[in-house]
Amino acid sequence: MVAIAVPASLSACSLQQNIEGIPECTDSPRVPNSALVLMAQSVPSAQMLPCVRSVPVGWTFGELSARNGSAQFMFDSDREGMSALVVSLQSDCSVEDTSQVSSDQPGTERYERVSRVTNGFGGERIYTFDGGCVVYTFDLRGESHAEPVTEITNALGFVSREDLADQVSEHSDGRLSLDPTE
Amino acid sequence: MTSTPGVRAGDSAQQPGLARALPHRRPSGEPPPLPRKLNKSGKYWLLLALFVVMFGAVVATTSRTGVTLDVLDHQVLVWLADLRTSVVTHLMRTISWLSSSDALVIAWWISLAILIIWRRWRHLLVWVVAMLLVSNLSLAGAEVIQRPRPLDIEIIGPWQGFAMPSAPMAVFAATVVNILYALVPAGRPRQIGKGIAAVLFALVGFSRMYLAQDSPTDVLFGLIIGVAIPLAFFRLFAPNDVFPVTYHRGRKAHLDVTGERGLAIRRALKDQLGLIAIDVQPFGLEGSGGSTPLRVTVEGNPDTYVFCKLYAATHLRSDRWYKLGRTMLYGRLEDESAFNTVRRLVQYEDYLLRLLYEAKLPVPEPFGIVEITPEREYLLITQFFDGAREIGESEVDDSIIDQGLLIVRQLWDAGLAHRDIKPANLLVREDRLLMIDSAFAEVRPSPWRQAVDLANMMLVLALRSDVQRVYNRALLVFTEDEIAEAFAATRGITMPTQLRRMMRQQGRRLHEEFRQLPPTKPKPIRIQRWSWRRVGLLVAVALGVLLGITIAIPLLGSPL
Repeated sequence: MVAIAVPASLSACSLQQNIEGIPECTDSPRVPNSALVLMAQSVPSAQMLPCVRSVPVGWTFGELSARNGSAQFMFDSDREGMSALVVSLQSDCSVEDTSQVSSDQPGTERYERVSRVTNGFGGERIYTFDGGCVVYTFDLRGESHAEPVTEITNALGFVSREDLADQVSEHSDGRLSLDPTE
Repeated sequence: MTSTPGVRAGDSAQQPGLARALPHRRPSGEPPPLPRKLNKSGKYWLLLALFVVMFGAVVATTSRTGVTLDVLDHQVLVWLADLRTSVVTHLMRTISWLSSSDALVIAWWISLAILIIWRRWRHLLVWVVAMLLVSNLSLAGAEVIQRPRPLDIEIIGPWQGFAMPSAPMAVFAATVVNILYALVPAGRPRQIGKGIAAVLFALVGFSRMYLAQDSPTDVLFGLIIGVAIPLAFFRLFAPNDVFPVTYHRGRKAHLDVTGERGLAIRRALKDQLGLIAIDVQPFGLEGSGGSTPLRVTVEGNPDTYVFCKLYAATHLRSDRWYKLGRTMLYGRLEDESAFNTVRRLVQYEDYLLRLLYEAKLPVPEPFGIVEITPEREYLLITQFFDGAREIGESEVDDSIIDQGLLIVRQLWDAGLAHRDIKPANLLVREDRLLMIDSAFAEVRPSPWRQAVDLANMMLVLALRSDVQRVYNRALLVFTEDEIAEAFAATRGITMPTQLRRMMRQQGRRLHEEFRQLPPTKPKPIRIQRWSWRRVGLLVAVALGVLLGITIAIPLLGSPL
C-alpha cells in the first residue's frame, strides 16, 4: 500500500521513472527510462524505440503495455476520443497496401495507409527499421483531420537501442548491459 | 446423573446437585477464552509483506538500491543461465506454465465449482477479496516501482509488464494458499498441503528465474504478498474453528466444540459462572439450525448436566437471512427485524427465558450467559431436562393435553408468545410436559401470533391423540371463538416445518379437521402482508442480484 502511495517521480530511481510510465525521449539526466528499457526488452531485435517528447495539451498518455514480442502505448484526446492514437512496437510489420513516403525520423522508412477520412481520420503510419517496426494507429473522431495528427506525431520520436544500452551501462557503472553480452 | 423434575409453579429454582466455584473476573487486558487470532505464522507473513512494501518504496525512490539489487539478482540469474539445457528448459517452461494466466484460471474455475457445490460462501468471498487485493497490489506495485525485466540476460519465457513484484508469482501463491484454506480440511490434510505448497512455490519460483522471466527478488516479493494476504484474510475472516472446511453433508451452522473451542467453553463456564465442566458434547443437532446445542456434564453431587446453546456470528447471519427471506416471501408477518449482534441475540433469548420462567411456565431454569469471544461467540446456559423425550415419541393422555393447553393459556395471560411450538420443543418427562427453546419467543405479541401458538399446540397434541379429544379438552380452557380464531390464523408457513412434516407423514389433515369443529367458522386471516418495506426489500434484492452478476462476470476471468 505504501509503495503505491509513494510518488515514483520523487527522486532519482534505479532507472528513470515517471508515475504514468511514459517512455520519455529525454536523455537528461543520463538515467535510462524504465519504460523504454521494458519496451526494448519486449522486442530485443528492435534497433529503434518509440518515445514521447512531450504530451500535447488536450492529449493524455494512456497505459503502456509491454510483453515478450510487442509493446504499445496509447493516447486519449479530449477532442478526438479515447485511444485516438496507439503506438505499437513490433518485430515485424506488413506494409501491404501502403504508400511509402519520406521519413521524418532518421534511420527509418515510413509508410502510410489511410482507412477513413470522414468523421475524423483513421489510418496507420508505419516506421520500419533494423530489427523491428513501429505502427501509429490513428482513430481520430474529431472534426479536424490534419491538425491533431501533426500535433501528436510531432510529440513522438525515436531513441536508438544503442543510446539506451549506453545509458544502462553507464548507470550501472558498467556492471550491467541492456542486452545479453555474447 | 440427577433427574431434575420439570420446573413449574412451586418447583425449586435451583438445579439440585450443581456445584459452583467462585467466578473469576477477567482483568483488563487478559484475552477472552477464545480470542480471534492470526497465529504466529500469519503475523510473520504480514510482517514480511510489510517489509516488501517498505523495500519496494525504497527501490522506487533511491537510485543505488535499485542498481545494487539489479547486480545481485543478475549474478544469480547468470548462474542459473549456465544450467540451461534443452531438456531442463523444456521442463522449466512446463513448471512455469503453472503461474500462467491459463493455468490460474483453470485452478480458479475448479475451485469455484467446489465452493459453489459445497455452498462455502464465506470462503468464496474471502477468496475473491484476497485475490483481488493480491492481484491489484502486485500489479499496482509493479507500475509504481517500474522495474524492467532482468537485464543483461536472455529471457526465454513469456512475460508481461514491469517485474517487481512478480504478479504471476503473487497470484499463483495466493491461489495455492486460497486452495489450502478454502478447500483442504484443517489438520493433517492441510499440513500435507502446506508441504506440497512449499515445493510448488520453490519449483515455480525457480523456473521463473531459470527462464529469466523474473529476478529472484521479484519472485520473493511476489511470493510474500501472495501468501501473506490470503493467509491473513482466511485466519481473520474465515477462521477454521468457525468456518471449518468439511466434505460431509449436514447443517453448516453447527460449530466444532472440540479443540480450542472446547477448552474455551470449559474455561468460560468456570470463570464466568463457576461451573466446572467435565464433558462437552453436541446434543440434538438434527433439531437445531440456529445454534449449536450442547449437553455439558458439570461437577456436582452427583455430577449433572446443563444445556448450552452456542451462538456465533454464523448464527446471526442465518437469522438475518432467514428473516429477510420470510419478509420477502410473506411480507411482514410480525416483528421480523434481525438482530445486529450475537450478544443481543443471546441476551434476548436469555431475557425471554427468564420471563417464561418467572411466569411459572414449565421451561428450563436459565443459568446465564457466558462469553467465549467478545461480540462473536456466546453460550446460553440452562437447566438440562435429563430423561425427557420429545412429545412425538411419548404417550399423550388427557393430562398431557391439559398441560399443553394450559401452557398456551399461561403464555396468553403473561403477554408472551412462544412462536415455535413444535414436537421438538415439547418434551415429556414423568407425565410432565416441558417446553424448551425461547429463541423466537416474544413479549406482547400480536393477537394473531397468540392464536397461532394455540393452533400449533393443538396440532402437536393431536398428532399423538385425536382431534376431537384435543378439541374437547381445549374447550375447558378456551372459548369456541378463540379456537376458531386460532385455526383461521394458522396455515402453511405459520406452522413449524417439523410439525407440517409430521402431519404429512401421518397423512392426516389435522388442520382441516380442527377447522370443521367450531360452530362458527371465521374467514381465514390473511398472512400475505404487503408493505413499503417488503416492496423496497424486493427491489433492493433484485438490484443487488443484478449488481452481483455484473461484478461476478469479470471475476470469472483469470485473476492475473
